[in-house]
Amino acid sequence: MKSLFSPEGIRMLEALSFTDALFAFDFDGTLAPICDDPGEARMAERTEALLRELSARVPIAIVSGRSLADLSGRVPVRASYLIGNHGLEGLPGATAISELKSRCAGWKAAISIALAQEPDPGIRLEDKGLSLAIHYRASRRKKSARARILKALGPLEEEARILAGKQVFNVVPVGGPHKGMALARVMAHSGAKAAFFIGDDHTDEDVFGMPGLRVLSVRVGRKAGSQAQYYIRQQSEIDLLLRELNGFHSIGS
Amino acid sequence: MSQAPEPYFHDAFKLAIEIERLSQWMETSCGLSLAQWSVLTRLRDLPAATAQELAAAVGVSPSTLTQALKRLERKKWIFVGKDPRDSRKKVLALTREGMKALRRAGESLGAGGERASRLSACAGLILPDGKR
Repeated sequence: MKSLFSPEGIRMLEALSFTDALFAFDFDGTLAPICDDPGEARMAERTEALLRELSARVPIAIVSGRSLADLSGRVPVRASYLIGNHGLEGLPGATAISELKSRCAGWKAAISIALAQEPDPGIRLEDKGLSLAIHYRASRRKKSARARILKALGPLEEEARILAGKQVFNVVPVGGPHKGMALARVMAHSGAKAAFFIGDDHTDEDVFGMPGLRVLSVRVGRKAGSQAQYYIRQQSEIDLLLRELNGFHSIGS
Repeated sequence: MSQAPEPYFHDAFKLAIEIERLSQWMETSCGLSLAQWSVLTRLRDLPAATAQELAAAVGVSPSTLTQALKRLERKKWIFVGKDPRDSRKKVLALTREGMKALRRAGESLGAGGERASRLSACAGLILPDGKR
């Protein structure tokens, strides 16, 4: 894993501007800082302006774990693709599957009952329609909250994929699309020959490690074991990255 | 024992001469040979490709490509870096100078279009679909 802002990283980033590339971004922790309350997460004004500038020049995609309805309200920029629920919503040609919704409702009921046995006000169950997120960022006893959530999720292991994120567990259907598959589908739909993707979380590894995708992958925060090629140190560097991208595309245009 | 059909081989030789002429014309008019143009355009669309991936896209063996890549690197038209996931591997990318060379070539290519079009028609007859 190398710094994206190293001379080599910058040259690779610039090389993407020479071809038909799609520029894809995760939302929480990438375009917007992580908030204690996920409902408060917003892009900074400067980030929004830079992203808007980029979207006027190249196709962009926002690929998030949030539900599509939630994500739409947080991205005022006209993105070519808005993909929600880790790839379950917003894909071209795909529609929400009612069977998945009822399965998700069943999980929600089971998890709610399990968590109610030893309530922790810092644990919050978020229903995203086709997937669930169980946040414990607000818990005062994070280790115990984590153990309690994992215990509640235990019986779902066969039918659900449990994705540990930053003080959150995501519950998505086994065999359903993930962010990597979503990006592959969007690339095919847009005719992009290559793509750029940046994300910060465990679920973004599905893109970083996707075989056969021509993607320049970047992780927010350096992490041993990540499949991403490059990293930026922290979320606040997203503006610097967007400025670089806008610079390359104004030179190229 | 059947005789080799000599006329076919004469035609193949003439075709090779025509391709060489086109390449020379490109080098004079556009500043880069047909082979260089082919490698650069493929690499433009395969940023961070390995030499093996690029060779497969161009349709030659990696060893055939080695010398061409060295020449392109000397001209600073391509950049050879380490694979960020595995520093033992090398990855290639077009540089800004390489892109400028391609753009300049693109402006001059039109004049050779008719010759290239005839050769392309011949290629269509002899190359299987996957090789085009």
